[in-house]
Parts: sequence; structure tokens; C-alpha cells
Amino acid sequence: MLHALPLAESLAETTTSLSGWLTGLFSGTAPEPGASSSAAGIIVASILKATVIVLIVQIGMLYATWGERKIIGRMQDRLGPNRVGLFGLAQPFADMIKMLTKEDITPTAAHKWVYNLGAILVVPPAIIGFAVVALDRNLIAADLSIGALFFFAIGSTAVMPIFMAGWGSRNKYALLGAMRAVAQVVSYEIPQVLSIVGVLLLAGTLSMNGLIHSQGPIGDAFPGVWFILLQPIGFVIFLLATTAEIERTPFDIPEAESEIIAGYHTEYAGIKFGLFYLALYFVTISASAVGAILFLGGWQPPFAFLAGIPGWIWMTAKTLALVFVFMWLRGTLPRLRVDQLMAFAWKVLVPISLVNLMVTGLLAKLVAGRAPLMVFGAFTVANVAMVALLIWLVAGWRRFNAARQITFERPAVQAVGAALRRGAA
Amino acid sequence: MMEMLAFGLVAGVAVGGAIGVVAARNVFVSALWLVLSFIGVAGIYAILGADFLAATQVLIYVGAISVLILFAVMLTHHVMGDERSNNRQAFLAFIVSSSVVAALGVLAYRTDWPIRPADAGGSVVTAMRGDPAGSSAASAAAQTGASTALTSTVDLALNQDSNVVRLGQALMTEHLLSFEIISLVLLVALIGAIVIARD
Amino acid sequence: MEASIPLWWYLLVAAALFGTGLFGALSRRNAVGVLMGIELMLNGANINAVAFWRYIAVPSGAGLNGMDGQVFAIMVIALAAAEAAVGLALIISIYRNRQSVLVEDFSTMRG
Repeated sequence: MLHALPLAESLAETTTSLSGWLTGLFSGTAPEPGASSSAAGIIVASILKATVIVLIVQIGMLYATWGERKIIGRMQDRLGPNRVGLFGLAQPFADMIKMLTKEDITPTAAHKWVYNLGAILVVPPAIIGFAVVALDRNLIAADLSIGALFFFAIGSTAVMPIFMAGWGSRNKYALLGAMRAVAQVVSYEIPQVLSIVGVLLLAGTLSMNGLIHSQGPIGDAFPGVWFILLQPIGFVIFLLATTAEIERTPFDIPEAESEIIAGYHTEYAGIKFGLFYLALYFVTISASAVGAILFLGGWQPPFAFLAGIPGWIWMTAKTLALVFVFMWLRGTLPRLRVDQLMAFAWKVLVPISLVNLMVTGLLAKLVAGRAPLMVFGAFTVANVAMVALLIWLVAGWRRFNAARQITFERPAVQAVGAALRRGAA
Repeated sequence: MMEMLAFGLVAGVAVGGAIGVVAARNVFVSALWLVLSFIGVAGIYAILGADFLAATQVLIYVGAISVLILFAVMLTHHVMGDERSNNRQAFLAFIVSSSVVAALGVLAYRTDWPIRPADAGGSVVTAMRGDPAGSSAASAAAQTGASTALTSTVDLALNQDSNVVRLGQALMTEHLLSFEIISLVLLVALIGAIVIARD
Repeated sequence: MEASIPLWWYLLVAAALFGTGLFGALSRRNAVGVLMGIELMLNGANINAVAFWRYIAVPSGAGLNGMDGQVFAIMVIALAAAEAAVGLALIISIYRNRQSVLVEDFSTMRG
């Protein structure tokens, strides 16, 4: 068990509040009696935690790229990378060396500071979110009392480097890509956060470990089942909104190569492009990890008799399963159009998640403190009813659409482009 | 000492960012400085022990308001150009605002604030812990029970004493009316912004 | 960790943010810049609210749980969001009509 390792013990000290974490980081205030109390000890522990996080994430990222190419390859009836090393396992390292040795270009027209900072700042928001990801019961860098909110707040800052990259490049495709990206990310943030509010409502906590405790066989906290069973609609919305949020296919419109070259990172080459690539896989992994924590029970085993298997194995398996789902979506679905994308967020996902939230709130009040089976039954009835309603509405909408001539509104990209032309003139 | 260092860092970021906002010649760059200043303010909230507010500050100010501002800059501005950024009354404005800062600073220093005695000497972290007995029991469990699998309710207590819960209760009880009014204001602003920007 | 930060440090930072925002709001030619100055002023006011929540004694009345400062700050953040949305919509609307975002060009109402 990893519990017994000294590494796990050094990671075991948890702090409850952001201020505790922050001041603990600087002041040496002992977060717990018994934990090392000197300032140097805290700083060393923090650096250790950060190093472990970055290392785990880095390795995960390297092999996520390999896995993605393999999986997409299989789906497209190809072999994927298989030349460098056994099964192409050394391919990520070969790619890394290639990235590092390429020429580092800064376009002469670019705004130097903004252009370079854009590439550098794209990574930190992707990594900081891992601070609240619980790999195991005690394997969490900072179990903040606002863990889930912290993750989404940090995630929301990811739009800034995109803006900086798009504007700093002084390239119209980069600017267009950045505006698309930001409009998309901001729009999908709303259904993403609304979809998890149902979970937070049921668990009654924002702390990651608290959320995990409330949904597993280990422990007796309410409601005691995985939230995917109580919030399947929320889970689907979370998955779709997250796919858009991290700009993966079918929502990779900001970097749609057939329309606007590569979007906001058109002008980046070498390692600066590599940083964007890095951040994409970082957020894929962190979003999968948070999805696993919020909806799949984190490190909790599915049944109590499987508790012998260490929690970090469960957590890793669930995270990888979600990472696979993201790759699967990429291999399956074609890219949306810009106007479809925005309409989907505002006219489909937001209303559904609002209805889901209202029903969840009502039910949570009614079933508070009941046995898991009872809670599950009540929620199943409600979810089936909601899905039936949704299907009925969609069927009605299709009949209505079939009966009239379908006219599309002017796509948003044209409006943005027109505004840009006016601005540039 | 280290707490002061942390404060100095975030305060420097906040004020430095603010100065960048007014000093930058390009509107886009000054919006980026504004983001830095917002992040510094979030850090100040965190040091003050207002966790939820710090996260909200990042989520709303950095993730939403700054984005709106940057969008407005891109949609209206000569996208790439620099220009003379200050108007003729800049010197007068500088005198007025620096005297406001000086007056407020002197007032803040000279006033004898009724400081809450419990927090005056202790650190933020110990004050944050609402229930010392529960907290120490939980940490004892965290030490001894780390390897035993089926103990969970105790270390849950670690997360119960945050002021997120109290804030939620305050919003839903004493401040319910203002909460509802602010919701209405947001709805009206949403509709109004759409109507104004469309025509 | 016995040494804690005196309240007036926070108030000074808040005053500095407020003053810088005031300068920006008064001196900027670009309407978006004016709006940014106003956001800075709101942030300064918010720091004050939270610092007072943290430091100042609250009369412990019935039913009060002493979160007023934070509630205040949340209200201000929500209002700032509303204000930014409406303000920027106005700026975009004016820009469409007049092809300018400089405040000195918005003077048709002047007698």
C-alpha cells in the first residue's frame, strides 16, 4: 500500500483553508500538531509536493500523448507510433527532443512581452489545479475547504494566456482563434459549473476529500453512492462542457486547422508551441481527475469488499477511463460549426443544467439523510422523467423544424470578423 | 514575519498591477495589468481568511469581467495601435487621486480601530479553526488512522469548520433580501446588455 | 507566529488601489480605460470590507453570524459584473454609431 511509504506521509498533512495553505506556505504555521512546524520544513514540504505533482502529471502527459496517438490510430485502422522503442513507447521523448531543438521564433511584428508571456502562462493554470486533486485518502497537496471551487476558479484563468497569445502574435488568424476560444471557454464554463452544483448540493461540501467521502462505501457520509448514479445528466453535461472547456474535438473550433490555420497558437514554434501542447494534455488529465472525483467516487472502491486495493489505483483507473472517453470522442465526432457551438451551450446545455439543478435541489431537500438505496431510487425516477421530457422536447423540435424551411442565422464568426474589420480600418 | 512577506507579495502585485493599468499606453496591455491586480486582490482575500471570496474573485474578476473588458478592447479598439492614452486633466487627476490616497492612508493609520481582541495576537490559521477539540481529534485520527482503511468520518471533520458554510447561511438568512435583489439586478443587467449591444 | 499584520496596512493597500483607480477613471481617454479604473476602485472598497470583517469587533446580536463584510464584498463583485456587462455593451453600442471609444468624442449632449 502506498499509505506506508514516507512520500505519502509527507503528503499527508492537510490544510483546511486557502489562508492556511497560503500562510502555511510562507509562515511556518503548523497546519496540524505533529507536522513539521519550522518555516523551512513547510517550504521543503511544499516544494516536495509541487515536485511530485509536476512529475506525476508530466509522465502522465507524455504517455497521454502516446496513448492518444495509439488509440486514435486504432480507431482509424492505423498502427500509431511504433518505431521509437518498444510499441513506440519512446516516441514522446523523441517528440520532446524535436520540440526543444527547433528554432525559437518571435515574429518581428509581435508584441514581444505579451507574445512570450502568453506561451509561458498557458501552463501554470493547467498545473495549479492539481493541487486539490486527491490521488488517495491522504495523497492530496492541499485539501482546501473550497477545493472544487478553487479548481474551477483556476481553470477560468486559462483564457488569459489565450488572449495574450492571440493578441500578441499580431496575426489575424491568431486573433480570430483567440476570440473564438475565449467566447467558447466562457460560454461553456457556465454549464460546467452548473452541472457540478448538483453534486456539491448533495455532498454539502466543496472539499475534494469531503466530496469523495460522501459517495463511497468507505465511510457513512450522505448519500453514499457515486454521484454519476444520482446525477447522470449532470455528468453528461460536465463531460460535454469540459470537452469544450479544454478545446478538444469536437469543440476544437479555436484551432480548427482547416479554417483558421491553428488558431491562437499559429505563430508559435518550437518549445513555445510545445507549451500549448503540454497545457492541453495537462488540462485533459486534470479535468478527468476532477470528473473522477466529483462523479466516480475518486479513490473510493466501488464496493466495500474491494477496499483492499489501494485508493490511488482506483483513482488512476477512473482518471484514465475518463481520459479515454475524451480521446474516444475525438476519434468519433466531427467538429462543430461556430454558431452551432454557441447555440449548443446557451440553448441546450444551460437550460438542461438549470432544470437538473432545480430538481436536484428539491430532491436533496426531500431525501436528506435517507439510506443510499432510497436516495438512488428517488433520483433514478427523477432522472428518467427528465430524460423522457428531454426526448419529447427534442422530438417535437425536430418535427417543428422539419415542417418549416430551415434558415440559419448569420454565423457568429462573420459578425466578429465584421467587427474586427471595422476595428482595423 | 513570513506572513508579512506573503502580504507584501500580494499587496505588491495588487498595487503594482493597478499602477500598470494606469501607466500602460496600450489599452490591451493595461487590461492585462488589471488581471494581475485582480489576482493580487484575491491573494489579499486569501490572507485575510476569506477563502470563498478569493476563489470568487478569481472566477468572476479574472475569468469573466477581465474577459469582457478584453473583448470590448478587441471589438472597439484599433486592435494593434498605441495612442495618447491620457486626457488633458491627467495632471489634475493625479493631484486629486494622490491626495485622496494620502488622506485615506493618514486616516487609516491615525484612527483607533476597535480591533477584535481574539484575532489581534493570533495568526489567521488558528483563528480559522472554529472548533479546536474536533480539529485535534481529526488530526490525531489522520496520524494514526492513515493506514487503517475504514475510518472516514473523523477526517471529514477537517473540512467542516470553514467559513464557506457560515457565508452560505448568512446569504440565505440575514441577507436573503439583498441576495434576491442582486439576482434580479444581474438578470436585468444580462437582458439589458444583450439589448443594448444588439441594436 | 505571533506577529500579525496591522489593519491599517490593508486599508493603505485598499486606498492605493482606490486612488489609482480614481486616477485612471479621471484621466483615461478610452472609455474602456475609465471602466477599468472604476473596477479598481471597487476592488479597493472590497478589500476594506473584507479587512473590516476580519479585524473589527461585531456586536453579537441574535441571529447574526458576523459574515457581513464578506456578504458585502460578494454583492459588490456581483454588481461589478453587472456594471461591466452593461457598461461594455454601451461602449460597443456607441462605438458602432460613432466609430470611437474616446470619451471626449461623446459630447453631443454638451450645450
